Amino acid sequence: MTLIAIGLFLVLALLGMPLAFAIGIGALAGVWFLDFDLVVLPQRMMHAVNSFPLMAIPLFMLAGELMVRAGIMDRLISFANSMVGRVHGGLAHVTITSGTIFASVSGAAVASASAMGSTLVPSMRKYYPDTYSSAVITAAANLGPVIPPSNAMIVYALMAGSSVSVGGLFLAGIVPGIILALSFMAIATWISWRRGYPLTGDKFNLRNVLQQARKAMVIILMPVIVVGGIVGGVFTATEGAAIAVIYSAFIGFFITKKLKITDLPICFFKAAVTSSMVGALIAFASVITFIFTIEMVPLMLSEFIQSLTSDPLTFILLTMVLLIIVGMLIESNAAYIMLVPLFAPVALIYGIDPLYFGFLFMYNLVVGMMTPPVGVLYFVMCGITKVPMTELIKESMPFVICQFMLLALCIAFPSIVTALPRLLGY
Amino acid sequence: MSLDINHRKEQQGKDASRPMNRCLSTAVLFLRWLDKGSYWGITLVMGMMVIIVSVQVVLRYLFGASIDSADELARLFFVWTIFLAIPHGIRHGAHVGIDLVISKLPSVVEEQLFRIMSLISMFLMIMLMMGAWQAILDRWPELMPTLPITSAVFYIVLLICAVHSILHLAVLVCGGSKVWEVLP
Repeated sequence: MTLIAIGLFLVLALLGMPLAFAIGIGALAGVWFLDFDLVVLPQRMMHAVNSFPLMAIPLFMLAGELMVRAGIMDRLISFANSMVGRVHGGLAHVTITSGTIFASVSGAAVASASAMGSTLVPSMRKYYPDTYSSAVITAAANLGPVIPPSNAMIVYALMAGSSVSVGGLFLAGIVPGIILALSFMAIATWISWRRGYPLTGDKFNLRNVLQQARKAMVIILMPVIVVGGIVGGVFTATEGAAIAVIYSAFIGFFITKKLKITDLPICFFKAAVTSSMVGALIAFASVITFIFTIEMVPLMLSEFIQSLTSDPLTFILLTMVLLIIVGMLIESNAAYIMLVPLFAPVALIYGIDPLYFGFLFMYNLVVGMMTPPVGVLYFVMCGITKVPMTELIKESMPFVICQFMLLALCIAFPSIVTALPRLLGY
Repeated sequence: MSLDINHRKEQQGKDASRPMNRCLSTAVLFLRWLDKGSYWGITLVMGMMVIIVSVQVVLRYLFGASIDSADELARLFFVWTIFLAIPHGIRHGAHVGIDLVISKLPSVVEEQLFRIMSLISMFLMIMLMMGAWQAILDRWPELMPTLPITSAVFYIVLLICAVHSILHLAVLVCGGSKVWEVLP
């Protein structure tokens, strides 16, 4: 039955049906063939979505929307420009730095791509071709789910159960996120220098940097308070997200004074529609997961994998290869819902640190957002800059390879991921 | 591609007087009003969710107090937010899909496939509607743990989501992928 459900889902998805609905049809087939009452469908969907931790997702999305409306992108760009604007590929560095800071506000790659795409592309057009600008923005946006707060980490922690905490995963993402941002900057410098792109931005001036840093301080403080509070155990991820919303609204209304009461409905609506995409995937995928459980797929998978290897490292490598393929075909949120309940318990059997496995799992699927054919970020960027997708994919390849190299590095040196969480007691 | 859209727009214009298209135009007009109502509904429930979670945080950390039903109410508004927004995602094409295979097909075939997929999605939503109705009937006698409200209220939004989605998908089945661009 599981094979029929998965087969149906894959065929419909390849024929262009939205992934959430293709999963839903697969789940419906499962419900029918297993002779369950139709009421199981809404019950499982509600069981999955009716969750307090998941509420953090629309709240972080809303915080990001409010921040953008509040005009924080201008301040971030000015701050980043004062620091790195004069280096080769200056505007690309500005984009990556802004992306890193925005990632610590929004927690979602798509939100980062939309925010940066609409604000940075007009400036970048003056110096770089659209394909390069789009590739840099796409890569910078993909820092969103790696650097905390991260919606992907929230979904992972929710699906993995009590073995992993959101705070621990948030901390696990900090070091790899910084390494990734610096690697992206190195790639941008190399490409800009090799292609002879002109220097952008003003000459480095410490006074200007301090001035811009003062203006950007209110934004930089937000992740310190929110993420600090979550990883410090002061409040939950959802409460932290609510604080992020209050903080963003405060900045918009009283600091930048660009946010108006009349902006709130559209911010609420946009955050809701973006979250509903994740919600629909989670809801329908949970029915498939239920069918997996009924058919004892986790047990069969566990036995099958253990018959292949008893070595934890081989298990990790096999899982990573599978996830690279999955990341190419399935939207990451759907993959978390369907696969985390299958693989996280097996990793525990192998004695693998759940935090380490959780980060690798999540990060692999995050890279999948930049691998064709289902590279969600490419869809967003192509929509903004109208660049042909094939050209954008080609231009993004150095950044994608870099992300896979970091994955390999994290597998080879687990302390990159685990050192900080362990240091802080996770 | 743009020529193709223009051609389709012209064709739609020529066919505007046909009964089918008049019916479609009326349906689109009705959906625009429905979407507007739903837009304000989403704003309201999302706003309530934000207020409740924020007030709870402020009460807990500044005053050491909390509202008993805050968690349940916030979850209720969250569920309503997500399911009210799903039909809007259908209209705006926000639900992610794979277009690697279909983008290589001739545009006529692609369009026909889009309509067939919308029809199958509609079938899913009809099944969801039936299941949600059953769930509402089952849950109606039960009250929420902290509030004197029927717990069926969680499933009512699923029914609304299914019906609203069916209407959107029906318009896509009849009018095609560009229906929101072509019709006034």
